[in-house]
Amino acid sequence: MDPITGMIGIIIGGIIVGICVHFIPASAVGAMSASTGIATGPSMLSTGCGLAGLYAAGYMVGESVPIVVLSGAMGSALMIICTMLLANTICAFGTGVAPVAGSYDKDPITGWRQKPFMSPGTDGHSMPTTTALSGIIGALLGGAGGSLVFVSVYEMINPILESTTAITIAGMIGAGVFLINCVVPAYVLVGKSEGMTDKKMKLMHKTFASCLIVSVITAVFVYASVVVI
Amino acid sequence: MTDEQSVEKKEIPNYKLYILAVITGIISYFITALNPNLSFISIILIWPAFIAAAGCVEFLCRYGLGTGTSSIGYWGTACGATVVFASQFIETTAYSPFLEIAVATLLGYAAGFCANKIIVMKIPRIEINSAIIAGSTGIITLIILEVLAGGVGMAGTTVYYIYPLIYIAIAIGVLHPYNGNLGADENQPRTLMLAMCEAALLTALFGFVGILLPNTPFIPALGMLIVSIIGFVIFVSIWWKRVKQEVYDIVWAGYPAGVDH
Repeated sequence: MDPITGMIGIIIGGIIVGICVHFIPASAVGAMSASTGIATGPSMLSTGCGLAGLYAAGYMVGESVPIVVLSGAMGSALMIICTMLLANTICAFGTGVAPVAGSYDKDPITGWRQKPFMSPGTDGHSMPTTTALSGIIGALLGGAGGSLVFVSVYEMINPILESTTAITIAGMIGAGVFLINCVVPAYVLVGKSEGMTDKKMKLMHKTFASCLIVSVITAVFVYASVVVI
Repeated sequence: MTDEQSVEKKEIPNYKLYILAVITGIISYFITALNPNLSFISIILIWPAFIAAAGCVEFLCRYGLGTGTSSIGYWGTACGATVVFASQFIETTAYSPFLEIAVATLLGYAAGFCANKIIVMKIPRIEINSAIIAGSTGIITLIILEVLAGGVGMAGTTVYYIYPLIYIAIAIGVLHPYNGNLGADENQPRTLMLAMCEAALLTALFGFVGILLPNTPFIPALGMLIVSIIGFVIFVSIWWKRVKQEVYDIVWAGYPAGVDH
């Protein structure tokens, strides 16, 4: 991969990471089963997914770029599937509440009614089918974006560094770019998102523009460090 | 003058803290680069950077940022540390701490600019505070790597396996002081004093890591550890005195309120 392509890869990866956060259902008040989503901030949950994706991508270093990206996406999706399964299990059998969403009356996929099962004074609890699917889409995007950043940086620096050093540095830069880009959408989501059915999806253009600016600065600096200076 | 105004008057502006952090950070860098045996002095000079970053986290999170203090801490560290880690590839001859601090600050400013102008967060001075967090974490990462690499410069350093530790430690030092002082009576001087405690504790940790690392000279690393522990004891005693002055009552575990012990 030539450095210019690598730089473009970092920019695209950064933007995808930003977009993925909109799909991840997360809410801090979910800890009290007071709203739909996993009980943490969207940015922190996305970071968890992204880091799991980076580990998965790291195992595929040396393969072609699509394989590495796909591996990262799968690792990230696996992480969020396990998280959502356990969160739903705890809510259903521990707290005693059914997975329902507050933003729609009937689940768009299953058609199951939501409102009758929602506790009074809450915005839903845990993850119904559509919300869970949204989380998986978000994790696939986040893992793919983070892995694209990782593999782009790795391909750029591999010729000038030892392979083990290059993997570590690429992994840390990948994690850094992921963190930078996944906290910016948190400003849009204001700590709570139901995933793709949430009204805040309409604000995605703001995330796109912000992540584009931030990713361009990061990518240009990495490119300049490797090639120009 | 109302109580609120008098409290605000006592606060130190974050940009002044950052100017101090940049000056001491650059001095610290050149001390280590010129004589790695003096790294125990360098490590003291990065404490202002912790304070500047923690001050900005406090300023931003007071407004209800829309993300947690942990997120802003990790984000700030990501900006600073990513820039420093990326500069590993720069040749030693062209390498300059000024470049890294400037780029980290620019990255933080860009994110703050996006938050204010594109996302319309309506938080005053978010750009400058984001820039300070990113720049300060950049300074801390830069000096810690330089010290642990034994002053040989970033290019060719072999301490890459402790990057995650550096990353997490800095993030904790930046994000925790505000969280640790949260409450109705939270104020900047006490939060910054806790930031000093945590800065000293973390540099003690890096002194210990330096003792174990083959790259770092043993005696300076031991000096870092000792100086940091002395600093930690002093700062904790000052912070604890301040806590006792400002709290309503201290109740020790096992004793109900009002019972003499």
